[in-house]
Amino acid sequence: MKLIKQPCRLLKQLGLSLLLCCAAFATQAADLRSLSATDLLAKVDEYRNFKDTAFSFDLELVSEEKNKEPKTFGLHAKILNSHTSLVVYREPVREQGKALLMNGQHLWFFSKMAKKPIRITPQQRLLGEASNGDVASTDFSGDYLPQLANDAKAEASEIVLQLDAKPDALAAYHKILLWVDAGTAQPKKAEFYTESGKHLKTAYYTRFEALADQGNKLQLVELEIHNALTEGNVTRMSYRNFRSEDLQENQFRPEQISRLMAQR
Amino acid sequence: MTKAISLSTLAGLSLLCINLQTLAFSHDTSLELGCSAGELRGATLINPVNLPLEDVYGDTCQLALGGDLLATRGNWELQVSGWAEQWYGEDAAGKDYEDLRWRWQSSHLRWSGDQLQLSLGVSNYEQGPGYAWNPINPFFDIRLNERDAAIPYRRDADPMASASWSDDHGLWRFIAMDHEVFPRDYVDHGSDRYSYLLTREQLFASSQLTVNIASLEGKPFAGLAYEWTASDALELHAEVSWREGRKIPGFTSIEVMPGAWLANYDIARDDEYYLNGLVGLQYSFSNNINLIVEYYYQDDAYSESDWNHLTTQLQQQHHQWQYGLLPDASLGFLLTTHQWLRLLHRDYAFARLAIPDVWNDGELSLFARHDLVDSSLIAGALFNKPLGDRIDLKLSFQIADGAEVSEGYWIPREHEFTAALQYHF
Repeated sequence: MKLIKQPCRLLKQLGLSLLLCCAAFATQAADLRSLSATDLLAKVDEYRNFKDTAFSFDLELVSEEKNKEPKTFGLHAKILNSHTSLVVYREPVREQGKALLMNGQHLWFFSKMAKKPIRITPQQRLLGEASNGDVASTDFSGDYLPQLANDAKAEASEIVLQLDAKPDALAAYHKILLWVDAGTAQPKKAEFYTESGKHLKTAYYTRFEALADQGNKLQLVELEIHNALTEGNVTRMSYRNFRSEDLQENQFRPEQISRLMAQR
Repeated sequence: MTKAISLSTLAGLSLLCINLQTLAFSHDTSLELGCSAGELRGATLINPVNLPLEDVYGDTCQLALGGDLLATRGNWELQVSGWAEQWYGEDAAGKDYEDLRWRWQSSHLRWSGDQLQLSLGVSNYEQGPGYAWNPINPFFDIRLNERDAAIPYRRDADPMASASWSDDHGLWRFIAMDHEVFPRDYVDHGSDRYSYLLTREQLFASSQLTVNIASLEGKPFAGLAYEWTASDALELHAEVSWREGRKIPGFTSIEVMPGAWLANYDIARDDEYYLNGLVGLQYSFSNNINLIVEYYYQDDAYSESDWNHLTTQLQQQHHQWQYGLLPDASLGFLLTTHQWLRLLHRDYAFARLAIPDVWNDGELSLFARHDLVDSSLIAGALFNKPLGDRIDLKLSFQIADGAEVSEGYWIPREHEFTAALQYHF
């Protein structure tokens, strides 16, 4: 009898757990749907940055275009906050000595050829479909004003946000449509548009990973950017080796950059 | 005794090892092999004998090894940068020559605190948002801005000491430099070469204002630059500077016999005031093509009357050479004119187009500089093609053309082709 009762209790417990789990999921989903667009976007950004902590990571960019050999760039990024960052070129060897410095709305490019920093725009391309803004900026909230895009096509489990470039910000795109998982706030897909309404590219946020040394924080580690105008042109961005860093604002100045570039 | 020395040597080496371990090193070294060739235009007013002018305009090859070494420890930073260039060519007499040159590039010992930074070393000082020219930079050398060439231009850096102070909105910088102000022949004319520059760089939301105040060999200089990232694809910039006195190749002529004049270039400074300026834009198209367009005005170059005076003098010296009156002296005067070329006039328009992904992953840049005074043109192209991870193939082509009495026409080579391979270690 005992033998029969035990599995029943187990089943009951399992059923209760499942029920609780589903309830929790439903509550969370409901919570996310009840969030304002601004709060939801802030949650999305948490998958891309470390909030108030400075950090660094290695980034591999692989660009694939029709009838061409794939091109790979190895970069190292140091991020003080979402709009203060340094991206140093590591691979291939001939690209070494180049860097991209973002400080607020200022974006400079450094190279061996030009000893002075050159001011560039976020739209300028870094590699393949990835622009400077895609790599140097690690959040949407600073550059875009979000609102719910209720008329956009979406699955039941998704919320779509429309992000419009803030008038005083140096956003890389005029408008973004961002598909967000309604349960977790993970970004799933984004479409990027120009001021004239032209659909430039689509990003797919393909992989998230729990970072053991960051309290199992779930972090975006892979995304793909597809050219919307030329089918088959894809750039894959893979992030790894996330580390907390002790960085100061004054290190992200053009005159200080050689020392920061030398740091591994 | 020997044992004591050995022990102290060992101890010293150990200490050195420990010290070296605490240093962070990075380097960027490469080997370049480049050759340039081109056809001489033929006799011109300033080169009536069609002289190849040795390595300046003759066919040359260059093998160069160099780069940067950076060592950092705590607040200290040591950067050493230089190039050894071995030149091979053929001189005016058709004789082969070889020349080994060492070029110090920007190198310094620097201490950086949270806000204060002190540097001592040598510098090829570059400043200003303009691509083709930087009137705000009192230590300007136009050839440092000519980057669209397969073999880059290098010259020895100038001794410099600087102190800078960063705050929340920008920085203050003071520089003392031993630098020969324009012209570009780098001959020490024996005057006081020391110049001092005080700079304020002020950052605004999406723009930057730079203010320069300088004393150049004892004469005042002031400059202002503004650069603004107007949108995600458009950048606008402007530079303006004011200076007292200009150093420009003037000349003296003495009548040594009836109808024969001995002319000499004389680098004299006057005490007039000059205002130079540049306006430009940079635009990134959605297909990744980048465009730069600039106009610049240099008040301290030759005015129309200066230019007419110069051409009259050149024609007179050419006439003397032709008819055997002081032929060597006249020819010497005419040939000397070559070193002032490329920035003689006041109005220039410049455009540059950079096109990525040409021939798979190559980059093509096209540029043109139009002299709005004499309508001459310098135009060119640079194609940079990566071959694997470590090698760059660079091909450049340049033409210079214009009317017979024009700056562009006087550049001895009508066409110049340069090919270079660069290996990155």
